[in-house]
Amino acid sequence: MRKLFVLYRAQLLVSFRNRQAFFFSIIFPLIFVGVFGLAFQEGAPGNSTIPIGLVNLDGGLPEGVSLQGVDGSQISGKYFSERFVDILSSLKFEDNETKIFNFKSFQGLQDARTELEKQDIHALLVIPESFSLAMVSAMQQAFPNMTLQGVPQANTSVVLEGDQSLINFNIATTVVEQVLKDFVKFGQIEAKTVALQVEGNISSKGLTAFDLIVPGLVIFAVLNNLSTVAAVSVSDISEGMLDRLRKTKMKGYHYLGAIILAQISLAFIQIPIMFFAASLFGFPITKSIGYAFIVALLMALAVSGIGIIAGGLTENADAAGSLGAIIGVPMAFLAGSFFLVPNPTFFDVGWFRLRIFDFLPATPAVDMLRITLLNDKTIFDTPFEFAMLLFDAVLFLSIGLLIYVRKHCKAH
Amino acid sequence: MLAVKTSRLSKVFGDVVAVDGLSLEVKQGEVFGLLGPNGAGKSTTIKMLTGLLSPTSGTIEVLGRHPTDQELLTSVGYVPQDLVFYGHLSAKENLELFANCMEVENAKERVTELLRLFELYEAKDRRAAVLSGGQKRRLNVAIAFLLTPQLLILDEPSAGMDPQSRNMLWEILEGMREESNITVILTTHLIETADRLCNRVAIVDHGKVIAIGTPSELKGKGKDGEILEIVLNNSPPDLMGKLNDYDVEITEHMIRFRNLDTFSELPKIVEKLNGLIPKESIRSFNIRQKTLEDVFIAHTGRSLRE
Repeated sequence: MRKLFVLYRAQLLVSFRNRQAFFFSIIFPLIFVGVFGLAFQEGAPGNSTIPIGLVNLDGGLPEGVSLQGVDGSQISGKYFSERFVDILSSLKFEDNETKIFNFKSFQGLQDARTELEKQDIHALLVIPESFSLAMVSAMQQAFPNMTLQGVPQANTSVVLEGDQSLINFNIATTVVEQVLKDFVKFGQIEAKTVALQVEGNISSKGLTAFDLIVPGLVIFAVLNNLSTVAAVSVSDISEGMLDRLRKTKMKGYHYLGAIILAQISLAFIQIPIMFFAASLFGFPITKSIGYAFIVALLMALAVSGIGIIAGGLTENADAAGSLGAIIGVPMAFLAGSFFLVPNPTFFDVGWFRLRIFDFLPATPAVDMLRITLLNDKTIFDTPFEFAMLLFDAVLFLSIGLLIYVRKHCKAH
Repeated sequence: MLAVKTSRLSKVFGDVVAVDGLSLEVKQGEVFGLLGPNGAGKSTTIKMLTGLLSPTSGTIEVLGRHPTDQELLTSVGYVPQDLVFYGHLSAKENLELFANCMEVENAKERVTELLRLFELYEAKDRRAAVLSGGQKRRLNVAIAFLLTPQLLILDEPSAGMDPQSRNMLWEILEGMREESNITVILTTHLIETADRLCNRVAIVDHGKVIAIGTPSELKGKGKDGEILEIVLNNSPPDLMGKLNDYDVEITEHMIRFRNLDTFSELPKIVEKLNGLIPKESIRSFNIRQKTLEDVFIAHTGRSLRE
């Protein structure tokens, strides 16, 4: 244990005294916070209504099937899709009476897409034909004893189309995603409080574009450590440090453990610094910030794994550092840290959808931070993101350790 | 008992044979030198002795064990050829790091002791990266002295050291040997190092031992251990077939007689050259003891520095 501690201390000191590593871990992300903060903190699109198109293809409930609401009203036809749109339509910004969305309905997709291309609307919400059936299925999953004769099981996806480089579209995506998430829970927790929960969560925030970017910047900062891990792990090999340490009573797990612990510590130091800097530009600090440390912990594990893999693939520190940057920077972009990037579906069974970039740890990490920090949610509201991030961290760390031990911890 | 025994040891990297059937026996308590030019296979041999490289063929025993035996971690000290420590840590922090990894008893006291012994105490809090060249070399060696090993393996320990630091290191090594009779194996391409320190020397070239013995044995004592160099003002005349009785090398401005008992042979040589070379063309006579460099040249036809 003592050997692990002294090696950890050495790794941490090396990270902090290495000016280049310190710059990329702390200063560089802070510059990003400053630039984005100045650019997006004021005049944010969050204060102006977003024009959004609607194509409601919902086929409704089958004829003859009706449900009774808590107020005794009959629920039939397109109730679910109309209610969903009602909730979205009623959302307002916290600090004024401005509505977040201004819906414009279209009969066909072609017309709507033409308007979208002209930027007359900034997003297009397409509600699929099986939306109501899928909602009933969700209720039946929540209440297994309830059966509705003549209602088939259905899974579906709501589609939001738009220009991903537009801030308004990114805001619309975040809001619709959150409302839909709560809407699907409607069946699980009964109807009586749903409307309040949704409106409370969304309209309590006067989100700016900068607020949406901050979680991505935090993950970007942690990803920047990737170059340092890769460079340190390979320079210790190429410069003979690992060989020299191997001639002491140090074991491979002491060394690798020290690298991982140093990365976790570094990430834990980055988190408060980044959020403090972001708060100077108006980012709201809530009690959910504690979850950021859990995300940082898992990200640091994943970054250590990927860094060690990069170190294993290169011969010197410069090449390893460059490879770390080549991996880390695109990963930050693909995770949607700065703007939304298409994330193609890898696997979809309706209630469970896995996207390709979910296998990159930054994607679930950014999603987790956005959901918890911007909506006062807990980590229990993001079980999928948590599971994927944990999976990614374990996967990359295992591969990294395997490569490292096989390649560098034995005589050749 | 032997400290190190290798038998037909070879190491091949792709098409390159770095060590070629090396058989050595190093006795306990002796200082054994591997002398050879760069690329001779010395460092590869050292890395196999320390267990950092596996031999392609052949066997190694270090203190009666396989080189990777964990028991050797506390009984074998190793100084790598390169400077191996963290440049962002201070000299003291580096020594403390290794002391803890080596599980040195009373680590703090031992670190302080070594900082003083290697004259690093004044610079103990400075980052290793900004120490002078000599200080870095001394720190590199000091790390191996944290434990008192039975066998100390030093790979080019004096490379890049100033003469003062080198003398300090030799004195420390000699003092350590007097105290604990440790075995030392060192590689060097410096004749003076091997000559001053080593009880026995193996001259290595192209991965093979080309000569082995004490420095005196290798250089030859008394009767045939001297060299006569006659320096000329101009090129010598054609002496082909006229000095066949001697081991002689003729270059542009020098005639070098090897393996001489100069005292008895000099008058005969002068007499022989009398009719062959005009007196005025001789600039100087130089008589000196044969060095290990001469031994190396005699065996390979090349200088150690080539």
